[in-house]
Amino acid sequence: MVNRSGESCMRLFEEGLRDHANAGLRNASMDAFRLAGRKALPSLLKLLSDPDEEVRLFAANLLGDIGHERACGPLMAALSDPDLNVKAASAEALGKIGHQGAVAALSAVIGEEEWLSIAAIDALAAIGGKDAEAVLCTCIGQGLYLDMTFDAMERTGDPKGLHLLTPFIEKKETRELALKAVVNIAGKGNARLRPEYFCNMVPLLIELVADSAGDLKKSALLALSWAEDARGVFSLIDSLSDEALQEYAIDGLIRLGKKGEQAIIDSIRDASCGGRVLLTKILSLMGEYEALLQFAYDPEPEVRVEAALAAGCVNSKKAASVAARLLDDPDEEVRAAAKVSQSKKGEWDAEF
Amino acid sequence: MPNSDLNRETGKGMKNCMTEQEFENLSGLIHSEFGILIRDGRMLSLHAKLAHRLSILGLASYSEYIDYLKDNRDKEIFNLASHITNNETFFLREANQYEALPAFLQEIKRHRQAAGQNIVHIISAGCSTGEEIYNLNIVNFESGLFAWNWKVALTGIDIDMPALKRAGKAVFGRNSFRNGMDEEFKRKYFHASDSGYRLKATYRANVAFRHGNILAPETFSGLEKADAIFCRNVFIYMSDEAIARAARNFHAALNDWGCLFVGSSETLIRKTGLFTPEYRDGVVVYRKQCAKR
Repeated sequence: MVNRSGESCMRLFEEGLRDHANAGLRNASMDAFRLAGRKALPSLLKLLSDPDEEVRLFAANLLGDIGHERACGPLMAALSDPDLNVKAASAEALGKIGHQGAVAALSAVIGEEEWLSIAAIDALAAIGGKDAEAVLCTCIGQGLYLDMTFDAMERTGDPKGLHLLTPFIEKKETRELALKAVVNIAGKGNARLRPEYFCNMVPLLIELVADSAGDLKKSALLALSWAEDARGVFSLIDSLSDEALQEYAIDGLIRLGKKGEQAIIDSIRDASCGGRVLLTKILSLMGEYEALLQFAYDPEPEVRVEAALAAGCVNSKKAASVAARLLDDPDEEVRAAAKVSQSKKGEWDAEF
Repeated sequence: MPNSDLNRETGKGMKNCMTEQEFENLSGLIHSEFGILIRDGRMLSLHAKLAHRLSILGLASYSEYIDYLKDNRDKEIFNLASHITNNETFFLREANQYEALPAFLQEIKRHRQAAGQNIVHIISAGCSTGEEIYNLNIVNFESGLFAWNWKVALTGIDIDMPALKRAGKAVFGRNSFRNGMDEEFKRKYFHASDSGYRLKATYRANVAFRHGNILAPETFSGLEKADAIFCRNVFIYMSDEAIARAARNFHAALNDWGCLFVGSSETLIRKTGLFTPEYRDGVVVYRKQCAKR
């Protein structure tokens, strides 16, 4: 019957949808409309003006499921339906269709009624694009449904529009949500933001890493790791001992490169620094082998291991002496590392 | 504005990081051996901690390291463990548990006396560099409960052999005293030396260390049944399944009146039915649940 989808069949489905007493028939009619797809449009558009609000609600839902742009105009008109649920279903349907032309109409209903506003914000997130993002930012600016709107921004957010969120990071009341949204939007598809994006925010990010907790702390540290700014180096070093932040801290320190090297060295020299072993490993990942040689006498065997391995990567008298000395180290792993370096040096000597 | 080249090399000598597949295989192996969860995305952390093993062993990739681990399990597995475990510990960590301990020690004494025994045994599971087990010994000593004709035994267990060796030396740096304690604590229990603060012999006595995995039942074999097990800030790194496995071993290692102490941010609720949580003297303890007779 669905395949034939003739006018008479559509009338049957319409009857089924209007049948309050028979839920089974109603559900079957809805399935049939969905299967009929665009052929069902004339019938459903007519039902969108049905005197029964439940029928109008189902029609709006079905038009969203079918997702044809032809339904946009009537659905936008239905945003003024006398029934709140029909209005909200129409907004949701417009989101499913995803046509940019609906942005202005959806924007106009935000702030009217909460239930409708939430549906409209959700629909704007589904539609996405520059215009929808601008509307969502206006909502944030007006303090409307902040949780919902930032969540919508996160879903729709295109990294190109991230600058729209910057002012909200600087405001205390929206800081947490904005920073989380920025980091998550940028993190889509493993993207990261260029350091320039955060250059004016570094002091704020440092403060947030020090004074906040949970998601906000994590987002601030991630942003700081992307900032590649030497001012953030001690925040990154201090975060190494926090398991939840360690990955971002390592990444940030490696990205800082030379700019963070001296602070890392100073922290390794500080016996009370909790992350000093990991810092030597980070120096090694950064390829700062020359700098590692100075830790050949460190009391911590794991630090000496890195010094021993570094000795094999530097062609100098000092490196040769470090490797030779560590061959007699009391720790087995240090001796093994020194042996590797010695054999590398032997290969070099043979080569030159 | 967006820069999607996440994988670009940054450091001038950045070693090749592991592939997603290698991360999955290696973290899976770590979980099955030690119960430790290396959460998604921690690839760089794992790489930073293990890159030197590849250099020492002359291996070109983590796939080769995984093969090496399989072929040389007994030789390398604890080496791996020592590099991935967190040795974050210090004296008087979660001090309220130490404050509550004397009341529990009194209870232990009563149970032991009723059983006609004159021994007390406390285990620190995941003892790392020894701060906790020595701290327990200090509290026990200060309680004065087992001063006469009692055998006191404290056993520290860890999978990290280098950490245990350091624990055996009982020499601690500033980092071990970060809990804002006053100089009096250090003066009373430690001797200052060039290499750090060495715990006085009185408080080192009765403490022994054992190398082992808390997920393996054999780790506890041959040990006197324990009156209390402290396993604090260890479960935070483990999966629920691994916690349940460890709890089974602790249950078997404890006397019927025994208690398990976990970290304040950890819970056994809904993870095992072997222990009953009790709130006493400001701390939550997990009492061994004994089979009904």
